[in-house]
Amino acid sequence: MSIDTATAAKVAKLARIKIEEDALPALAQEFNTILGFIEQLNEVDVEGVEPMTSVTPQRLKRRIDEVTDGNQQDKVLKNAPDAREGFFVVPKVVE
Amino acid sequence: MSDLNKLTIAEARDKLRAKEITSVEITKSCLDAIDAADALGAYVHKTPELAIAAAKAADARIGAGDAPDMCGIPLGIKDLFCTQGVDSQAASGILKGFKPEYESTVSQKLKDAGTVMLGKLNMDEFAMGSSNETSVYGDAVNPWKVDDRNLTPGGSSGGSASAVAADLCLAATGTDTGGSIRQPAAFTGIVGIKPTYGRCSRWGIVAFASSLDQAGPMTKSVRDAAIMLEIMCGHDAKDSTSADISVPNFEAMLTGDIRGKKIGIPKEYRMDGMPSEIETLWQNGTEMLRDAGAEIVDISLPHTKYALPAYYVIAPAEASSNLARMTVCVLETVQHWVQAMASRNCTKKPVQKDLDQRFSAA
Repeated sequence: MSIDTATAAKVAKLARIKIEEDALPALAQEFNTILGFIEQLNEVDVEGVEPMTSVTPQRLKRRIDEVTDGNQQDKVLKNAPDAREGFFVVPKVVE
Repeated sequence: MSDLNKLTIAEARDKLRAKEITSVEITKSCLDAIDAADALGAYVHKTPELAIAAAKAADARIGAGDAPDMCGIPLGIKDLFCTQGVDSQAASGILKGFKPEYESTVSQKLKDAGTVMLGKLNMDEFAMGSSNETSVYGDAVNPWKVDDRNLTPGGSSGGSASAVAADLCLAATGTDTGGSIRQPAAFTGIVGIKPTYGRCSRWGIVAFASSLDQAGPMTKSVRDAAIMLEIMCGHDAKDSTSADISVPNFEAMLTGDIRGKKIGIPKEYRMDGMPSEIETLWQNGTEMLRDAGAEIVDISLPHTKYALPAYYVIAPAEASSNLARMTVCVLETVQHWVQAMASRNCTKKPVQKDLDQRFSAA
């Protein structure tokens, strides 16, 4: 599989990132490099190899499902550029 | 006594306990050194008032007896760590002005141990880079010189490496995803360790690639790294991936005795076309280990060549997922623009144009 400039342009559009026309070939090349990496990894035979999640034996810790934190509305809103009546204020995005 | 900023953690600990010096004295010595070294671009947010207050508290604690090993030791903290009430922007313009209402677990542990934060240290933006040249604050500079040129301290923990190498602190925190502690430590001739994943809690550290990120110490000696790492490690209920394994006394394990240990030298780590001076370093290192009584064995790690491809699939994927939330911050910035535009009776169009420019610059 190979990414051409048209596909790179489409991905950039979907990601809402503006890429100039002349920068598209380089971007497509970068995509292809990453796909090349994945192909390189595909050549490794992992048949019968147990998946490793950590170098030390580790299981996800569980805890009792209870409230241990909260009630810090002031702190949560402290870094907001604008907050009113306990809410973040953001620009209107839907007409 | 001058030059207190040049002490190691172990030396300062012993002198503090013997009441030969005070934490305030070491801290002032570091603060003077910091102000004289702005050209290195190591410190990006200085916190001298907080430092002196913390040093006074540490001196009181030492006076009362039974203070922890690192009580009164002045440190620099990488800008990636959230520090309560102190700017924490991961060297990015997106987080400008962000003053967290909470403290990262690692920096809290260091605080609880009585250490003194001198300020926040430069780094590559969002810890992505290996030369500290992608920082919104400007480049960090290596204190070592071969001629008039400014050399890179490496990255992403470039400010930490530069600060430790130039004695602008006794030690610093770093973080390492794909070499961000080890490479700058090597570039500046200091000691840095990336601990085993899970040893240090990642809570409160701006995430890059969650399954690879680890915090670690950057110090002037191996002993210092052992002392500092012990405080940074430990299970944290706020990070489910932090290891619930007891933390040993690392310093007590520094016996200096490696007789009879088998040390493998992977042939894949010595690549074709490697400069002869690097080859000499490998040989010198091997000889040093052999002289100390270790057994040297040539080994092969055939999967080494897949490390980089695996990294370049995992790291960008996790980074994209983690930093997607930064669009929220971008929105906040946009909000400021909208307000500014509104007060100037502009329409929404210029905002869209600004956005386009911003994204095309990203």
